[in-house]
This record gives sequence, structure tokens and C-alpha cells, in this order.
Amino acid sequence: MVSDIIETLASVARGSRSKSILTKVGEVCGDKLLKVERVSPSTIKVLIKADCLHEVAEVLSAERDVYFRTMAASDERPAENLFKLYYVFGIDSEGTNIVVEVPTDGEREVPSISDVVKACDWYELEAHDLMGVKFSGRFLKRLVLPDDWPEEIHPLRKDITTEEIKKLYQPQVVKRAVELGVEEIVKIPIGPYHPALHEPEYFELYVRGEKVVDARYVGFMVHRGIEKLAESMKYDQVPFLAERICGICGFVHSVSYTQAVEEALNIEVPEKTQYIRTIILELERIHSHLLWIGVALHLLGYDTGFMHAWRIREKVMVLSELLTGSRKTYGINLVGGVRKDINKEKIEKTKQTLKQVLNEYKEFVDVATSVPQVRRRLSGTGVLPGGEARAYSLVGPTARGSGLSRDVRKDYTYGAYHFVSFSIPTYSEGDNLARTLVRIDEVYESINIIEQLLDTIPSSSEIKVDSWEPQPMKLGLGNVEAPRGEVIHVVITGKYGPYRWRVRAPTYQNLQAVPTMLRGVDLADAPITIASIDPCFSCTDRAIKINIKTGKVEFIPLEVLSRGGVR
Amino acid sequence: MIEIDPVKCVGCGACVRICPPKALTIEVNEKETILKYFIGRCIFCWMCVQTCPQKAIKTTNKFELSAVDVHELQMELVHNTVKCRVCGKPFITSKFVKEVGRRLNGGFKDDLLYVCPTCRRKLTAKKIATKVTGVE
Repeated sequence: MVSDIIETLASVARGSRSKSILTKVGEVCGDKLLKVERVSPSTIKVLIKADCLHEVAEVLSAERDVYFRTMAASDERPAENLFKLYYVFGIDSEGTNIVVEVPTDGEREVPSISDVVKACDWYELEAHDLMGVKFSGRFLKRLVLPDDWPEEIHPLRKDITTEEIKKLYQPQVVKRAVELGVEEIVKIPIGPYHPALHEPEYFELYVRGEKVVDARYVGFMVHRGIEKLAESMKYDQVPFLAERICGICGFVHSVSYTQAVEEALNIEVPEKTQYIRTIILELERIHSHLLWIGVALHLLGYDTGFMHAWRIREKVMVLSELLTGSRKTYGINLVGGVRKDINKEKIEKTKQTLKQVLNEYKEFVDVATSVPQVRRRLSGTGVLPGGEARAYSLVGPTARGSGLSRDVRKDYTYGAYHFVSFSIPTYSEGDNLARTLVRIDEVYESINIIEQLLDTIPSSSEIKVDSWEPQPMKLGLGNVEAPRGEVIHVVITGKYGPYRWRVRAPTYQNLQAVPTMLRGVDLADAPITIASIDPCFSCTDRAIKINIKTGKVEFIPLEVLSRGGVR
Repeated sequence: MIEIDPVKCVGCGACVRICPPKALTIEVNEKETILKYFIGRCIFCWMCVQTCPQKAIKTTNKFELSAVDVHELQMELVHNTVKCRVCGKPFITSKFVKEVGRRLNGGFKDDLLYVCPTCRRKLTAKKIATKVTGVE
């Protein structure tokens, strides 16, 4: 029996790496390994009993090229009377995903793996909050849901509807108004906002003199329940919702979602569609990095740089409008294709604009990076060693600034990236300067990628598959290298729309390492250090509705935030 | 914003089903079927424009949409509702029934056309049963 499974393990393996890793997994599990199957060319699903999860996690986290990508909890009681946890590990060197599927009845505890896989901490807390899965061997606290949420209600379970949740939880404004004896109350939420990024976040910095000793992050202030909402929508409506997860890099989410559905249902997308998606993704990266460079320079007190970065960015925004019809939230993506074609005229116009952008950008970056104040404040601050970056499974420019050349575009290729050649800028210093330089270099690469794609774009006008059939309960993974790092979506398909849709934004992974970066920096450098991962809080929270409680506002120390601001 | 041509629109509800932000909604009551368009929710994705089988929805370049009163952002298109000849429940608009009749080119007789899907199923089943058994 056990030998059978080990044989199957070897046969489903994709290459030598996945073979040796899977064999090790088979050995530690023994007869607790129930089933192995290859669900797509790059994804292998391993079904194990919860008892040996910890051992499997130990094996996987010991490998240098394996990292933890995401975890999705799914309520599959209607079909199988079970909850299921899907842990996704990626083998970087081979581009293979190993999905560890763990069934649980919801009563018994699942062993926590956050002691060996540091990055899994939040995922377990979230599964506990939203799905009611219990974990043993760790301290469980509220992460996503507000403090006064009823204990026994888990919003992502299938037996509670969106309507019931709305009725159940009314923000306590009314109650508070009655307490205060006022007839009408106006809510003025003050904080928590980052002084420059205009998004809700709350960092508690513990300071000795001028040095930050420790930091604590409190987030999930804007949990909107997007995943729950999507479960009541149809396949082709979700891309528009997905795009609204993030206001800066929304397209990555819609592409990631559509890719996940396409993988689950085996939909072949026309080549031109891949080209168009990739071009828009890279365009989004250019605008996002320019935005970040601007904000970073503003945080360092170099406002001239900020204005120039945004001036150049404007050209990119106009270009996006030309290609998609919108400056942001393009709305051109559907499962199986895109809605707008790129014709010859547009190709020419795009090339012209990119040439202008390149010249102006080069001139601007040369000046900005040689300003002595900028350089001195960036170098040596917010250091994150490569080992820590690996331990936290960091992604994107944050990882690449610490010497990990992890890039989904190369490792788990998608779209039209295999048609182009490009390099991945990596710096090993791990400080704020390294992360800045990674982004600066990436803009050049992106311009280069778009130019190559425009030269080789197919001339056919086929940009969408005619029709496709949904099949229930298929698992699909979609990943995209967003400007901030890798985005990964897990989709379990349903009859008319996704049954379960798990979104993991890059900041979810990167934010957990910020306290490490903050230790030892000067207080004045804290804002730029926090900003250096290019955090996107709303993405992480995926979700304004529930959480602004007037009762709580008075406890948020405003001065903590203003102290961290630009002086 | 979009503009709905009241002459072309038959009130089939295809746009309502595809609308991602649920800016388009439909309300069926005893007498009327009301197609509502709330600009406050519209994301201008033009999915309805692509979907409309009657090509009744047009895109416009209007974008200065701020209003003092929220009701100014709501547009309504009222259709007559048809009641089922068998059970008397209101089901679709009279224009929709006529359009279906036109597209089917007389392939469907009025006694089936003006009947709601549930009753139609029962009627057809009865007809088949009568044919097979010969008993009413």
C-alpha cells in the first residue's frame, strides 16, 4: 500500500526536484498519505491526514528552494461533510506547486505549522476567524474580524449568507449614539493612516531614545469580505470585483483569478490574449513603481523628485487609457479572454510613448539617486537579511532586495513571458536602498518587455474563447508577479461561479517581516522602512464597512502616527 | 454612463444578470416591470452594452455625474407586466413576450406564449400524457 503510493509519487513528479521532495514526503507520512494526483501540468495535489501535517511541513520547509505560497481553507460540508485546508508550497527551481490537502471535520484540531513555517501564522489565524478551523499547538487570537464579533459565527462558512451577515453585524455607531444621548451622530474616523500612503494601518513602535526597539502591527481595518461576496457572483462578474481589491495594481488580481479558473477548467486561451494581458500587466508595473518612487522620495523630503516621478507616470496612465479605455481598473479581462484588442495604430502610439517615458525616466532617476540626502537615508536602514527573507517566504522586490532572486514571471511562468527575454534585478544588501534600486531597474526591464511583446504580437484578431463549460469542484491556482510581489489566487470552481476563492496579495506575506526591518532603525527612518515593502493594506485586508467603531477611535493614539511622519 | 433606448428595450433582464456591480436591477410587480439603473454603482465596464440582445443600451461620453440628491442618479424604465394565463402570476413584460413570438416566427402559439415557465412545463407534460394514454 505504502509502496504503491510512493510509486505514484514518483510517476506524478514533474522533475528530479519534485521527485526527491515527494519521496521524502511519502516517507514521513507512511500510510497517512492517502492520495497523490497531478491536477495540472504544474500542480501536484497530495492528500494527507492531519496527524502528519507537521512532519510534512518540516520536510518541505527544510528544502532551500521550497517556500510557502498560500493556504486556503474551504468549507466543503455540502459535498463531503468536511472542511479542507489547502497548503500551497512552491518549488522555485522547477516551477512546481505542491498542494497539501488536509481534511478536517471542524471539531478536531489541526496541528499548527507556524512554528516551522513562519509565514503561515496569519493564514492559520484567518482560517480560525473566518472558517472556524481549530489549530493546536499555538496561541489563537482574532486577526481579521472585529473584537466584538460573535464567537460562534464564521462568515466564510457556507451555512451563513451575505444577507445574514449584514443583519447580524451593525457597526456600533447607533448604540454609541444612544449611550451619548445624541440624536444624530457624525462619524469622523481619525486614523489609523500611514502618513503618506493614505491607507489604514497601525504600527506600534517601541522606542528607546531615537532607536526603534520593537514594533507591532495591527491590521485588517478594512476587511470587506470580498471573497464571500464573490461566492455569490458569476464567473464573468468576478474579474471586475477582483480588480477592485487594489487601487494601484488591480489588473494583477483579475489576471490571477482568470488564470486560476482557466487552469481549473482546462481552458486554452488564445496567444494574443496572453500578449495583451502581459503588456497591460507590465504597463501597470511601470505606473506602480513610478508611483512608489514618487512617494518614497516624498517621504525622504525630496518633493521635487516626487513631482517628477508623477509627471512621468501621467504619460503611462494616458497610455493605459488608450489601450484599455480606462486609466485604472481596466475592466478588460474575462475568463477565457480579453475584451479589447490592440491594433497597429495603438502599437505605434505605445512605442512612441514608451520611448519618451524611457528618456525622461532615465534622466530623472540619474538625478534622484545621486542626491546625497536620498542615498544616505536609504542605505543601511531597514536591513532585512536574506535568511530572514527566506524564513518569512517573502516575495517580490522585498525578497529581491535581500538577495533572493524569486520572480514568478520566471519561476512559474504565465502569460507571454516565455516569449521574451528579461533579467531579474537582484541586490543582496537588504536595506531600503536595495529595495529602491530593484524597483528602479525593474521599470527599465518592463519597458523592454513591452517593446519586445509589441514587436512579436500575433496579428490575429482572436482574443477570446467562444464558450467554455464550468465543472464543479476543480482546483486551480493562478499566480502573477505584481509590482509588490507575487499574487496567488486559489479557486475551487462551482456550478455558476467560484465555490471558494482565496486571494493572497503580496503584502500579506511581506508585512509579517516589517517588524524585523524596523528593529534598530532610527525613528525618523521608520516611515520609509514601512513604505519600502510598498505595502498595500487594502489588498491584504481584501476587504470599509464593518470596522470603524466610534468606541475605539479614542484609543488610537494619533500622536504615535504623527511622530512617525515626515519632519 | 449608459443610455437605455425605451423603444428597443424589451425588459428581458440580460443586462441585470451580467452587471458586475449590480447597478442594474429589475423589479417585477403586479402591473409593471421596472428596470432600474443606479449610476452611483455603475463602474462603466459596458458589459451590459455587449450583452444586450436588442442592442438597446448605448454608451455615452457623459461623466460629470455628481448630483445633490441621490435620486437624480437613479433612472427607471417601466414596462407592462404580463400575467400567466393559467396561474395568474406576473412573470415577464408584454414586449418581451411579443419579441419572443416574433423571433420564433409563430412557432409558439399564444396559449403557450402567455404562460409562465412552471405552468408551461405542466401543460406540455399534460399534452404528452394525453397523447400517449389518450386520456385527458
